[in-house]
Amino acid sequence: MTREIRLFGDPVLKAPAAEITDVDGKLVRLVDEMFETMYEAPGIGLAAPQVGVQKQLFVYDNDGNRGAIINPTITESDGEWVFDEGCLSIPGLYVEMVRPKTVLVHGWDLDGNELSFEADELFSRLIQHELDHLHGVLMFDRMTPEQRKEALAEYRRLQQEPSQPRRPRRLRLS
Amino acid sequence: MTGPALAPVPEYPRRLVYLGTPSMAVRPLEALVQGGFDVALVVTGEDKRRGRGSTLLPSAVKEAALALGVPVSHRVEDALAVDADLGVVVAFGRLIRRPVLERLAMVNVHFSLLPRWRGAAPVERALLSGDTETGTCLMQLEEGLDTGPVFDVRRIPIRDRATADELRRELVELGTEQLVSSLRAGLRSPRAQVGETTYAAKLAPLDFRLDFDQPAEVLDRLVRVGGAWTTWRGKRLRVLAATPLGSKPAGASPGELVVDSVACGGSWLLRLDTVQPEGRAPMAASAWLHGARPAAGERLGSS
Repeated sequence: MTREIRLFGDPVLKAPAAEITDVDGKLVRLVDEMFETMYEAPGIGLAAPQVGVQKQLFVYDNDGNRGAIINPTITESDGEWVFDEGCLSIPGLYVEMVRPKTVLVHGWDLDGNELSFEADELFSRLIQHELDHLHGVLMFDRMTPEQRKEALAEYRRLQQEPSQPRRPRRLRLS
Repeated sequence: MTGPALAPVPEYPRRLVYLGTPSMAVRPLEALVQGGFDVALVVTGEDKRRGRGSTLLPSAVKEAALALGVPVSHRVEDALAVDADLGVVVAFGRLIRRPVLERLAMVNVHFSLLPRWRGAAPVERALLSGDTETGTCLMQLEEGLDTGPVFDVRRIPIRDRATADELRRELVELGTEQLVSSLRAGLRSPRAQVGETTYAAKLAPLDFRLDFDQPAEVLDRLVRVGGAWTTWRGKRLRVLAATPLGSKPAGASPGELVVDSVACGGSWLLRLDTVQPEGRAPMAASAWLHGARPAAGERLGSS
């Protein structure tokens, strides 16, 4: 079963997610549904708040490398990498954003095993993007006021013209 | 997070890669080359065994490309290596994976009024379902099946009694003109597809078997698509041309021959015009009947 993806404007996307203390059957089911929702969208990463659940959890599939991470944190980051970032909660908008190129990630998997690994480029970017969701942060929150104004206008235009395609709109914001 | 965005479609593409396979895709390729576009590479289906014999034959598009002096490849990934600004896809016959589209934007000429008849057999499905209008759409390729936004739509009526071959020829002309003039005029502001979505699944040989319980009108469409068949005394009989007629005699059961016609569902007859018995050449139905000598009440398609 897929879940509804919450869109920009939904207050759940602005709220910080709570730490997970217990992995039960309900959480395992949530992860299954999040994978299904992410694949249908289609996307390469999906955080629990995006399906209305305020828990520190996200799922990802970076070209076949897939997984679910609980209570993730970034412990180190390095370098710079530019990428046209798109968000399943802000459909259609792609924004060129600069973020660290590599990150060290810490967290737990569904079996309670502690995870610690390094991620680079696209994988690193998707982890940073999903981690933002767990803190109630959206792409718009990482822009200067002028950039945000331009990106919001572009997004509203995409929303108001249903005849306009789901086509990447690029804003050069760096 | 979404994956990387698709490569944006350039407004005025010049250097192209052409992806197409069957004879339907030959005209657009020729028109692009003759129209002065720089076609850097043609990607086409593998050589195949066709007809008799065991030699591998190139696709119609491969032959045309070689005649035009355009390099040919069978690998989609090669499209990324020639510094093209747009891929043009016409009846390629293979899905193009998203990672390719993230690096090279592609457009497609699709032979139906999208979102009606997305998929492999739009011409056949439009004819079979009795549509009175069809057309061609120039759209941006996405990873979904014929889901992309549309740059241009051309419409034509489906004439009464049109065959799939005739309709295909008309649509190829229409689509070729659409492609060349749209690329010249500039690719701007495509529109999302709106309306009811239907899917044009490929037809299998069993789909072409005439079921005489159906109305003659429906069977007639199948004959016009091409490849309709029934059986006669245990052997295949292809029906190449037929005409639906008005009322049938009372009591004739479906499949029964009434002079040169077959009784169908409802009050209809399907007159056989041209048939091809197994292992024989096509012939007028009258000539076939002369030799077949059906007994009274003998039926087509009963075995």
